[in-house]
Amino acid sequence: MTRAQTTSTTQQNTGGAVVPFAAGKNKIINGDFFINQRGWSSGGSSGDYTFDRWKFLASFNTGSATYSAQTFTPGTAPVTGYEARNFLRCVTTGTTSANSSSYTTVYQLIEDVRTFANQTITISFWAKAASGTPKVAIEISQDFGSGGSPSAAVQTYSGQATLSTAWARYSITVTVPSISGKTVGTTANTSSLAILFWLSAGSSFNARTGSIGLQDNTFDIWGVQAESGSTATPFQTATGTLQGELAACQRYFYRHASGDGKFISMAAAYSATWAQGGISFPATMRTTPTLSTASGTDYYLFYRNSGNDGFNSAGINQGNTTCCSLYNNSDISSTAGHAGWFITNNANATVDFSAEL
Amino acid sequence: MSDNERKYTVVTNPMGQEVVFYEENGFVHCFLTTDPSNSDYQQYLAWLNGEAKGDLIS
Repeated sequence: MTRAQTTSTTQQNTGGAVVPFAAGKNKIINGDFFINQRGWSSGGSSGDYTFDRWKFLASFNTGSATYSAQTFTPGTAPVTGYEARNFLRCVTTGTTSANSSSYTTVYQLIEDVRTFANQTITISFWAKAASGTPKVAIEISQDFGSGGSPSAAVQTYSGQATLSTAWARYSITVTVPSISGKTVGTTANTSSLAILFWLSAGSSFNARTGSIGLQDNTFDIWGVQAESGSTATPFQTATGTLQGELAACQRYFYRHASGDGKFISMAAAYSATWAQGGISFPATMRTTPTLSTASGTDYYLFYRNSGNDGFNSAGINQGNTTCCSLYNNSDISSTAGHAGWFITNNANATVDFSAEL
Repeated sequence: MSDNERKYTVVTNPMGQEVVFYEENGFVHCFLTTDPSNSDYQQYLAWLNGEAKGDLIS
């Protein structure tokens, strides 16, 4: 008996997040958009992340696409018994006269091109539009990573859904191409499987989108799941728990500190102009991460010897996938050997680590 | 901003490792060249080779 068969008709139809639960069934991380470490609310530039693990690409010669985080009013989430918090909205405006190479997408990169290779999978999601019956196209893209001579990416149009103005669940079943005969890049952990949502696309992308065309509308999306098999089983997040989902996200991105007066780490002065502290990551990251610090005058402080030194940003000195040292040697005026600690000193200060694909 | 527009600064840390900085949208980003799996490092390598690392659409 398959898992789909063990699920009641009611559960199937409503997508109720009830038994049976299978950890790892859903390869999409943060499919319910609950985790939002960046505190993203709206906007951004093409290529930016939104909710954890979710990224968008958009380009127009005219018109615009505006992405935003939306909050469900309690009781209005699309699945009874799954009181979801957030959903993703994209508003496309003035794009219908854009040129053929214009597009609006949102997607997630699933680590490792071996994921689902040569398997039939079902991608399911809830969606609605503000008006009319716009379409959403799904594409999968297999990227073979970097290092050596990896095979070229394989893009597979998977199908499309025609939305209405009410939340409804849509599912698209597709066979992910085999990777037999392909070459995976030699650099570890760099290949991926992308699940793309095309919301608007010029004719240059007809083969990749089933010709959905350029569309002006408001697209709302929630509850994305990608699983083996030809049936959309009840939605669950990848791990089934908040802490599990957060840890899964933190393999790729970790916000260590944000806002004013937040402790960063213990620190010491390596020299009169160099202060350094150590940070352990809460989850092993995919790769040694990039450290990103919001930059501004004295956004950060090194407290030591009953005083402090302000500094504007920080660098990563040593690091691996589990920990790193953070330092500044451009603004510090200290005394070698002094010990103390780093804290943030501005509401806009952030200390982020990214190991995104 | 594409990777080709980034202005990279490379320094050497006390252990002799390369540390690469770039600034973007009010943030200072920094990565090591010891781990080739880092996607920023991949973009940096592409930049060194005069290439633009493609995205999912291009």
